[in-house]
Amino acid sequence: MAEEKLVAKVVVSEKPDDSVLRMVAEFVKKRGCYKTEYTIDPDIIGGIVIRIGDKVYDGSLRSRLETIRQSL
Amino acid sequence: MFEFDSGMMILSGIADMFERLNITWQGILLHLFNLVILTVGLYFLLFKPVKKMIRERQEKVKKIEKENADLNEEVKALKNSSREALAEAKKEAAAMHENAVKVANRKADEIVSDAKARAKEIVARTETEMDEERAKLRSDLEKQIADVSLAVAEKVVGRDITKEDNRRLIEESLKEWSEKENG
Amino acid sequence: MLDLNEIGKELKEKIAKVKDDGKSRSTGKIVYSGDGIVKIAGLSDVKYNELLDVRGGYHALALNLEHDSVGAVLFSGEDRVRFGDYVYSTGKTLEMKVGSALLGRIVNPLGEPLDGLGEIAAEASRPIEYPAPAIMDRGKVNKPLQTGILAIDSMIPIGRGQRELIIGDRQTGKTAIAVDTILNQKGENVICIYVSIGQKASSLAKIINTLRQGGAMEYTCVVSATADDAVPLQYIAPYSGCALAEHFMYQGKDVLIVYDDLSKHAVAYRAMSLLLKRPAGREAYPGDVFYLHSRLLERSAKLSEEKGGGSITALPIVETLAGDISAYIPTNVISITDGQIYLESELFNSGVRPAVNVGLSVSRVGGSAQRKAIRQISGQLRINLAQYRELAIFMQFGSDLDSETQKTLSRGAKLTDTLKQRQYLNYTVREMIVLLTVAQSNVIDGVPAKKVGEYNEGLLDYIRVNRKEILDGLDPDAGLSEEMKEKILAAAQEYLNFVSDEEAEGEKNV
Repeated sequence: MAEEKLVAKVVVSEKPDDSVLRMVAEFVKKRGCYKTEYTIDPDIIGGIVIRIGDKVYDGSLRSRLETIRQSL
Repeated sequence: MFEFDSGMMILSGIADMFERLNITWQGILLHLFNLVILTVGLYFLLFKPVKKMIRERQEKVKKIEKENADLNEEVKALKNSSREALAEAKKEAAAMHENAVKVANRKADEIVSDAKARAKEIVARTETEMDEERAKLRSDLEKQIADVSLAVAEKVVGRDITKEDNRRLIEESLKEWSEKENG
Repeated sequence: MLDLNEIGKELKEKIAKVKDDGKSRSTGKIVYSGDGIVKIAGLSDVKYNELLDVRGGYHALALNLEHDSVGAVLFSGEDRVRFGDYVYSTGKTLEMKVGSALLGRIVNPLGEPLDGLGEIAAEASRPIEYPAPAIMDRGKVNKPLQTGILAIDSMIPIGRGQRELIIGDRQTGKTAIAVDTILNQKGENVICIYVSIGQKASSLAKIINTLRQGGAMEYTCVVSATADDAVPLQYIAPYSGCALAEHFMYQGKDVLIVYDDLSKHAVAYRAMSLLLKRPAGREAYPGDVFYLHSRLLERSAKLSEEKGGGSITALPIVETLAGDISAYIPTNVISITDGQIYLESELFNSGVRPAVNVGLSVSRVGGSAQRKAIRQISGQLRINLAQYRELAIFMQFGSDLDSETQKTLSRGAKLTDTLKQRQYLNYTVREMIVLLTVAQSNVIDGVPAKKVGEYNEGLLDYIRVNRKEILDGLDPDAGLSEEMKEKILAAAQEYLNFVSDEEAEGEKNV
């Protein structure tokens, strides 16, 4: 649990460039994480999903489309 | 002349006969007297009781007659009263009947209105069911449309998204979350 | 028939309304799933009774918050949820759809329709758990709720805002009393809610049919969690029903809610609690089973005039086993409610229906809400009946009885007969006044012992048709005048003569 909290799991749709990596690192550092694990999953279409401990930041296009689908 | 003679002869014959029978005027008178006494005596001894008896008899008959009349009257009255009772009974029966009819009518009205209400309800229910069917059809259609358009959107977005778009998207998201948590 | 353009337009509008922002939510992972219970690791900021989203579109209710995990019950999909699935918090508690659109409908405890009559366009929703009205918000119970059942309205009167328990063994007519009461609210401006908890679907269907035929569905909503629904649904059903009732109460309306029945509700809660590994107490019920029912029944109330004067009258039903009212759940609920109607199977089997045991049934607050005329003539009723029962037991020894005792006995028997009532045959208040007046007068002595029921029914028909002015002239809210009493008795005597004449004639014809 404690170890999990220190690692931020980031999912993106394609290989991130430097500017993205920098932004994410900064965002994650503010929340007490110093290690970041990247996963590339084209299924999220676009955007980013960051998971730090219990908290999920879901900014993927997939989830946005899903929200629209549910509200219809 | 001759006629006179024969008359004379009859008279003298009667007188002669009387004489021979020893009937005298005195005797006749005595007899008459006797008769009178007998008659009077008999009148008192026999006629009165008989008369009384007859009178009694008559009274009895009268009484019986009167009784008969009374009886007749009574019978008549009885007849009348029975007729009245009959009429009353008929009236009562009619009232009873009327009451029964009233109650029955009321019940019948109730049943009819009940049936009417039920029929109305069935119609209403069918109508709502039809509406429901329509609404279901519509929502199904909506869902299909939404599904198809979202699938299309996914494909298009997935193919057309550029690296720059993605970067901007990520940047926006991160900024939004930071803002939300700070403020 | 179907306007495609309109559908398109509506869809566009809906899409425009969707908030397009990245979500940040608390999540957890399922580490145990079984029997409809899930254990979730994570979810650190979840609250008690919060609604959880399980991946795949299922919902769960967080009930146990522990040091490093959360215990929750699933409302659906217990066979689809797998180990490792993500669970998201929603920040909402469970809500029930409320509003007049639900009247005439049969819904599940979440407000979704079960009757195939289409979507419910509810005007609002309301949390199913809600604090009971505060003391200062409450008013005095002063309006009667007529059940239409003579034995109850005369001796165990129920007021609007009261909680009256209906308790008895199975097959003693508990539900029948509740259904009769709902049927009797026609035209009384009372909204009825029938909550079915753990009942057989077939018996519920029968009840709904009865309500529909009686025209009662117009003002009734049925909240149903039958025996085959998930246990959590059965658990929340009464609270959902109560939320719906509260919605109407705070609008100033009078509501009648029937919980059928709370013993099954307690059993459902026990199953859930045991699966959640909560410690078991008496009869294996968890420690908070009293609170389970008290917090539900406390929400029934009569609001003060300043708050709109609405009310919720609750008729909870509890089933006993072999007449044992000292079991755990019955004693709990008896102590929470404002009185109980105790039904006995012995009475039921001997033909006294409704099988109300008058000695053990009480109403603690309804008396002040009773109509004045009824109160006046039913004052002696309880005592008379008690006297009769005492004597009836004595009579079984077969001793010779003096005429006075015999009279008391026959009067008592006839009074008991008068209190018998066919199901679905409700009396109005005026009819009750007539029946009670006649049953306690000399007129009833002329009625043959076995014909009291027949006589009473006929008498009401007779008066309704031929002596309408008596019924019209009665004022239930004023005392019954001697003159009126004379009139009623005269009519009763008239009908009695009428009937015995008819009978004599009938015999002659035979």
